[in-house]
Amino acid sequence: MSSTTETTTSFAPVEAEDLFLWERSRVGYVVVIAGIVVVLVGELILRPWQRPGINVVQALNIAVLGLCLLVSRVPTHRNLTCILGLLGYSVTAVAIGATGILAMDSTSSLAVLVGLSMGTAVLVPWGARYQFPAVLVTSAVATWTLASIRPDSDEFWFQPVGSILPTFGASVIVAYLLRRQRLAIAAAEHDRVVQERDLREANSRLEVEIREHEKTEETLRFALLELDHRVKNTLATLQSMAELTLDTASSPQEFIEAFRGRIRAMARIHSALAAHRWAAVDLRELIELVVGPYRLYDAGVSLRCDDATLSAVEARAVGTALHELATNAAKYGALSTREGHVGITAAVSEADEHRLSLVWSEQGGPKVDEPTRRGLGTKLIEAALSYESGGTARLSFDEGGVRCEIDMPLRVASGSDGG
Amino acid sequence: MTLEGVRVLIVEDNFIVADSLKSLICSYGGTVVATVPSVDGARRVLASNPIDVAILDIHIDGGAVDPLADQLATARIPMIFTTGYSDETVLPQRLRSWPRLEKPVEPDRLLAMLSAILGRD
Repeated sequence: MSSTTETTTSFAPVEAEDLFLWERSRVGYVVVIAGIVVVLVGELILRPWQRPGINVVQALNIAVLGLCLLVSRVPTHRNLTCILGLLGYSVTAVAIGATGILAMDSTSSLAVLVGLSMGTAVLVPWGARYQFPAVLVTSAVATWTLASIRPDSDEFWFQPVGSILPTFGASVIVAYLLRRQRLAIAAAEHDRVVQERDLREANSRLEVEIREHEKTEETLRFALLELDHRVKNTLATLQSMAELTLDTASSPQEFIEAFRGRIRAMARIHSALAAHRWAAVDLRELIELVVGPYRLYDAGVSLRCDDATLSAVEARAVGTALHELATNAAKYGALSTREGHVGITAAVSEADEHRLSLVWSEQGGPKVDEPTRRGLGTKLIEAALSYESGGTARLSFDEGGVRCEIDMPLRVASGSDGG
Repeated sequence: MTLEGVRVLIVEDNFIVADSLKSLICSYGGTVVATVPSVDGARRVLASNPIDVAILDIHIDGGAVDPLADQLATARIPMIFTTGYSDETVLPQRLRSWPRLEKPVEPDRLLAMLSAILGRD
């Protein structure tokens, strides 16, 4: 109801219906004050101190005005209805007085008619329930006033009663119609305000939805760009992997076997990364994903692993090295026989900086010799890990099997793939 | 068309990609001064080694390569960018005049670009 609150002053009511009563009461004040002035001045000039009854009525009018002003400081609906009732009485009284200044004869009944019509139809726009007692009181006062003006007349009862009754009926009908119209207007206004508010709310909901949609679209666009980037990087890695694998393979059979294995390793590392939205990879999960498929028997691999998360780059370095170790072990080492065993321990120290120290230790497998030629597998373990993580990977070929010691710094997972 | 006597710096954080680029350059007769995975590593190499051309991955290890490219541009060392992004806006405007090569790198195109940029047509 913003339109209502904007027009209110300090003491004015907020509700539309009360505001209407409030405005009517102000009309009443003006009429009554004007009437009092006219009657006082007129009486003083024309019939000074001849009719003390008039002055009593004037004093009563002034008291009524004061009472109304006092009550209007608390502009509740009930108070406003009272004010209008009282003002209705005063309008009648001053109308009688004003007419009575000039004439002592039957024109007084006209004054009652005029006053009551104004008081009830104009000032008092409420239902018959309130109007009936109000008009009764007004009639009584008017009768008493007329009696005091014309104490000698025998017919003074008939004039006010004869004029009041039709006026009463007419004013009640007029007031009822006015009130109905006003309520209809208020209801229409209320509906309009509610509709407007609903529309505004729907509009703002829609705006929020549009903004969210735009945000989603932007995120999606960005994700697609990233996907494009990652796919191309993966393809670049595959191309390079093929070239490097080809350089070291002695036969097409060897090439395809090694290349296939490396693609599978990339896929597994990718799965581990994708599971965590490329943000960070759980070390244990990565080891199990990469090494797990090469385990022939449950007892073949034992894992002792601290809790750690790796960034995408670190996961790629460690995962690639582990794949090369596992595939080699499955072909020639401890994972190629039932007796062989691989122990993996991964410890994270948090002393100065986070460092991962991972030991791959094969035992019980076929006897291994230090290879005469360092192949791509070795390169992918030693050189790649050092290049990508800044750590070291040392391969040694002991009597019992291959041993690899990885030591590398761990950064706080940044969620970026680089490249 | 060879790269005889050309000293190349490769900045690429993926070892496998860097290593195959290195093999490629070598197979054309070029000399790879170093392959480095980071801007800091590249700066250390540049401090003590003269190079003729640099091959830079636009995004290395999560960071942008712009500061290094600016340094190379100031030193009048030509460069070629490699990138996984199809969108050229990933490079700042001032660096877009340098040739850009989309990954996966096509060896012939890389060689042609190197020749063009070094004036060896």
